[in-house]
Amino acid sequence: MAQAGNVLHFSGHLHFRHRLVLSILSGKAAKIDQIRPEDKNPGLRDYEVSLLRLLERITNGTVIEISVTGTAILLKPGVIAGGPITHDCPLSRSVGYFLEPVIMLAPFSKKPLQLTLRGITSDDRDLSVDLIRTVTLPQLQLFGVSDGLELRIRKRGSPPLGGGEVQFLCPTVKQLKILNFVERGKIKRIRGISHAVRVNPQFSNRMIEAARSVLNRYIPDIYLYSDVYKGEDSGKSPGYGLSLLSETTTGAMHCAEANSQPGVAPEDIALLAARTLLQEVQKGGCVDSHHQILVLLFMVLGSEDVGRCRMGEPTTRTIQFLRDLKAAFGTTFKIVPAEKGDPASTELLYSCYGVGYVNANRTLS
Amino acid sequence: LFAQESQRNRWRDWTKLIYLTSLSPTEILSKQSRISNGEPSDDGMEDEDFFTVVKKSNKETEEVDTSKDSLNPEQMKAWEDEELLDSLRGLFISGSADE
Repeated sequence: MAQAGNVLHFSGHLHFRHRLVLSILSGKAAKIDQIRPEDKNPGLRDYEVSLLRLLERITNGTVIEISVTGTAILLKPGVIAGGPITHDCPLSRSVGYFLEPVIMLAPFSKKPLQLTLRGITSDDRDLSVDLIRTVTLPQLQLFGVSDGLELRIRKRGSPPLGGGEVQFLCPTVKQLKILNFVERGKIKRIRGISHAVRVNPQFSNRMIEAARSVLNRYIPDIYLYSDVYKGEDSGKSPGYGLSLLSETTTGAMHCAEANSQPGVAPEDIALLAARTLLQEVQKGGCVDSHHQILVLLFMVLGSEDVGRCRMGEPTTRTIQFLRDLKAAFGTTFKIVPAEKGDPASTELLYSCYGVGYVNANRTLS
Repeated sequence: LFAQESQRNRWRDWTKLIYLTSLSPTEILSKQSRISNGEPSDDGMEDEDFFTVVKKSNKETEEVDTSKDSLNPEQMKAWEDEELLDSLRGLFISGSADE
């Protein structure tokens, strides 16, 4: 599909995942160079190679060329095939690293994707499987991806040895609905999942109590669930963590989480998670900072109409993503203050015209 | 304070900053935080000082592609402050409407 002049050219090792996604969705080849050229260990990391292999298997006909030094790659995208796939993630990144780009592609598969991933299920770098299940997947529902959408957490796996297993099931769609999400509403409930594996199960309850000490002042509707996995299902390493989400009357969600660190008490981990949630809530918007790029991508792909969404200020990832989106699809967003009358508000209104992306791969049943 | 904030909002044309400048994402956001900290004094010296620090840290530890910002317990200590905690009440259904 890729002809000369139809190549996306990127530099650097950052933003690797979303650039690959944009290449596959747009059908344009991606050339990424300058991947850690100055590093004492130059080129791609094991997890990046693993991601390329995973994308190769999810698609059909994708050609990936890696330079001898590993500092440059060329990806010629094929079609998104889907179907049943199992992938072992390296222990250098959690399964969240792999799931995030896959979630952006899966709705446009030929066949519904049934992906089993094994590895670390929560860490400090990427969204944990709990937040992906409780917050990321509901964002897809805003765009009409819902029936049969599921993430099953079969086994938990803490760093460093992992041992977790999740299964991601995603239906295919023909086209995404256009988003019009501008009313933030007020927070009506807070939910959370506290997990502890291969440590004293009381740690889970201690986290819940500490988080409540911060959050109870706001609303009574707080339910923090203690999720216990035993034996084989608890992975190979000890660990614990707390993930939290808030939901407003209009369905806007914000999330935060914290995971165990050596020498830090469960109470302090929980306080960290609770305060990070408050900070996230303070930024406002109908979508939290972690999910900005997913929502912006799906707004661009939506049907040929104006999509609008209220969000907080863009993160560094989002700013680069907006630029890369323009390179891939030619779409620019209009970004204006959401509350023109309130100078203290930092909320912004993002709007764009959808390209009307149609899933041409999908097999009709 | 309000005057300053409104100035800040007027100053930042996000559409322009993102699509029509070649500033790096970090530069765009750091410029913003400088303004919001009430330090719009634009002498070049400060600029240079700030950016060299960033560059240095880039070389020592690799910047990793993450989807969550690293948690900062020190920064979160701000949330021990009752006034700050109370400032969010208006965002909850139980909060009073006048906020």
